[in-house]
Amino acid sequence: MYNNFFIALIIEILQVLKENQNFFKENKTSRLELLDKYKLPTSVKQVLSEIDSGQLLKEIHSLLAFKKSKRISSENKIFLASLNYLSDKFVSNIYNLPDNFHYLEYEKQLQLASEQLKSNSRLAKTLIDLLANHSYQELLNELQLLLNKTTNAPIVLVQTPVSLTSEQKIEIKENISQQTNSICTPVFQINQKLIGGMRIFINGVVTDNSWLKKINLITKITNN
Amino acid sequence: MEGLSNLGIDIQSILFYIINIGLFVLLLWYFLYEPIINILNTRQQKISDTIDEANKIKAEFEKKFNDMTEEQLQVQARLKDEVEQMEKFIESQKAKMLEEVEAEKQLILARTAEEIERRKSQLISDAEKQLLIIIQKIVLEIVQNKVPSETIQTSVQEAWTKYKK
Repeated sequence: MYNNFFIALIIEILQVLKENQNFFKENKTSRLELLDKYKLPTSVKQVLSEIDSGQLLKEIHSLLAFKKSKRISSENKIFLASLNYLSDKFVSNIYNLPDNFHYLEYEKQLQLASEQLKSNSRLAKTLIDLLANHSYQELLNELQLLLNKTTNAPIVLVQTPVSLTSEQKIEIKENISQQTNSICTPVFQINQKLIGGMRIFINGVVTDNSWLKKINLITKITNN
Repeated sequence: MEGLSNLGIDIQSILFYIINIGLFVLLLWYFLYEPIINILNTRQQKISDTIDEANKIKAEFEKKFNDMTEEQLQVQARLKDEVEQMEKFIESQKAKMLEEVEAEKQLILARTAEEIERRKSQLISDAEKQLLIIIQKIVLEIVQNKVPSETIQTSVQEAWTKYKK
């Protein structure tokens, strides 16, 4: 699902290099100044400002091979920077979308996704396309699997009886990332049966602070 | 002599008769005495033998009779003893069977009491479970439908705060 994003990123990088033939001769500050006019993720810009041509070529080759082999070195800086962008900015964009996003008309979805990405770059268009053509669950599940496979990130599912605001989602995401010391992209699921509270699954281990659990607990205690 | 003749007694005839009788007796003794004696002796011996045989048989019979009587008494005694033993055995078996029946009865009663107690507990437990399910349903119904959304939002925030801690 995210292969198109990686391809678009490679094309954007190659475009930068094509337009700036002496890119690798520049120092870090100059490179960052050059990159400033391009709509690339900040984390990727940071990597590009430090990387040498041989290493970049190697990493691009590795990224292209990833499409087929589904294997990539965990030291591939471009790939890690991309994942960082996806798990941070792109996931925030997903969280910012309204709950009824996937029930809207396609045109409306494109419009809302464009508002989120705020760019007309190839990369942004690829991401808008992803948002408009895949469900919230698909996008986050795929990203979680990708992160889990490549960086051993935890699979996180958060269930609540009502929908959370994007701020709440981001807070939960950042807190769990900090707690597990890894990049995580929780999937938020509405489960009205919980009644109140929330349930958090991290790699299959559940922390249940729901009202349903409390009611069941009271029933069990009374039963015993 | 003449007087005898007047009486009709003839001495000669008497002598003749006497001689005849004497001759006759002599002939009889000569020819019959020995065989008769022999027959009598044989007869006597035979009778004696028969009597001896009879006595012997009698003695044997008495002996056998005594033996039989004694044996009969022994058999009777043994039979009596066996009957007594049998009676004792029957009595002991009867007592044992009664004990077993009593034990079985007690066991069945205990099991029945236990089963009744178990069924009773099960019924109470089932009733409690049913009651709890109904209570749970009522609580869930109330909580799901009557709790304001703000409270639910707050509960989510509280759960998150609790998780963070």
